[in-house]
Amino acid sequence: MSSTKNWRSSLRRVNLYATHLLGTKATPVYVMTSIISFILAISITYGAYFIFYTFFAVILFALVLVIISTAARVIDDLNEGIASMILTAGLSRFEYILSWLISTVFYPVIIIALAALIPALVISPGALISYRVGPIGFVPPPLGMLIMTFSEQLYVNTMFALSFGIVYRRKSIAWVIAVMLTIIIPIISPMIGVAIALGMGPSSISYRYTNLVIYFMNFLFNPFYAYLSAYAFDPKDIVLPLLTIGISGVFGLIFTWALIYHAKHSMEA
Amino acid sequence: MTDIIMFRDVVKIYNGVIKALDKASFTIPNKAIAGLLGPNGSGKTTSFKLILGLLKPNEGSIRVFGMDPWWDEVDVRRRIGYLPEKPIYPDVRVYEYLRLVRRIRGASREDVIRLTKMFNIYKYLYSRINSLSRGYLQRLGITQALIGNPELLLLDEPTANLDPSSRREILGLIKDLAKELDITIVVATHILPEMKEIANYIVFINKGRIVEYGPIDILTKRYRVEAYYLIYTDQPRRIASELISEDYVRGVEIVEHGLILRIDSTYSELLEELLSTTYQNMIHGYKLVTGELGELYEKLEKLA
Repeated sequence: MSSTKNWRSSLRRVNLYATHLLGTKATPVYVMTSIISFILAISITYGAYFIFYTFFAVILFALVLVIISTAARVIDDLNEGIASMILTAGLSRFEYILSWLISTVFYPVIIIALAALIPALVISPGALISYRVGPIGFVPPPLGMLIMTFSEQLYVNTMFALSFGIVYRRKSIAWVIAVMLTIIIPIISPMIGVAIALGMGPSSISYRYTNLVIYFMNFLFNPFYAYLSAYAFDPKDIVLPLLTIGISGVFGLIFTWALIYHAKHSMEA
Repeated sequence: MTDIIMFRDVVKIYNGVIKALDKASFTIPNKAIAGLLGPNGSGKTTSFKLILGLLKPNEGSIRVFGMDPWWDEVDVRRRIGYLPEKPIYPDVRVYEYLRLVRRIRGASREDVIRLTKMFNIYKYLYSRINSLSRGYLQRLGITQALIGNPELLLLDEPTANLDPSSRREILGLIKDLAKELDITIVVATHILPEMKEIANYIVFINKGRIVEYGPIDILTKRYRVEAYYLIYTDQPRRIASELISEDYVRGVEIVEHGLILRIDSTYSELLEELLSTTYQNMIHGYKLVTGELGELYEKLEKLA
């Protein structure tokens, strides 16, 4: 009874501070998220999938950076002492960190996912689970898988980068990790894939195996890119995509727990 | 009186190198108006942060309201109002910040409005916090600390970096609070005269070590420090000539409206009784002017 009451009070405080952040520090991330959500929803509603597919990587990159730049402001608050002031009002360290994560990471990811899923479900549910022939013969992956891996990558990238930033109390670390995960690894993984294929000899050069290397280099942190590679490897294969979503999802949850645990313990004023 | 704060052999080391508290042990009783006295860097702010559960001690144990402030952080903090030495607020408007604190603490809107009027910051509710002067920032700090009717008020150097008039105002507010609120107040300061008129309990801290703690009247007697009495009278010479022969009187000085009597503080009560009876018709009044805390501090500093 008492435990339930404590949880309720705790959730109430988390909600209060997350709402406060939404109205103050997290505003930029919501402006950005709203614009992108709107574009995604419109492009799906009117069947303009090519907008969706073409700009996915750019949107992802922009979103990760905007979310990181907003979420990493928690590091300023920790370093400057604002966090201590808020804590003395009656928040626990756990509630404080969770409020930041909810307002700057959880909500934007959910909004983006819903903005893509809802119109797709209403207008063309079939596109979520099956692939279809797009313009000029291009066969895009199923929309549902794209949205799922996209949201997952957004979440895993930002959580991973943010956790290191918080533990080391440096925004620059969060930025470097976010850029590494979102840009550097996806760019260099095809090069490595090609290099490995070349190293195996001319007869081994294969578009399919290059994609397999890209898949394995990305499947932990970048499920979206990994899924695209797996799709390129074999559009009908379901094992690799499910493996990607499952492992990245579990990894994301474990990392969320680790982030909250370490952040809580490194939050001595 | 039960102890509201209890430190036992508390050690706090920053970054594995800087020892901020070294086996610190002290208690502060419930409803005391306590001064945490010590020079800059002596460990006062660290002690406050430990009381609030913002820091974890390396060794020793702390109890606040009978709870461990590190593990029972929310239950402890909800009962404490805290004014930090250099409060750093989020860059929002005054009302937004107070609303946040009110909601977290579950206080009523009327309670906050009453406090903002009491501390004269009502007219600044829509100003950005960063635009407030230092004096008004302190008022805001005290206001937010009192939201939710805390049982313990921690004020860390409340008059530091204030101009003389703001300092007087803030001191006046603290004095009023000490009189009106039936709560425990702990003021950390290195400015002794400020505490003289407020505190009834002191904790002396120096270089992270607790030198002495206890009720002021007991400590002043224990260390036989001098007390200074300003006696308002038209017959200073007569009173001076009669009292100078007493053993406990260490000096007499005739001043414009009376005389200053310097005595062994152990005999304060005796002198006050004498002034209220024997000399009642010869004097217009008297007051304890200065000294004993400063002298006590000097004596204790030598012990440290």
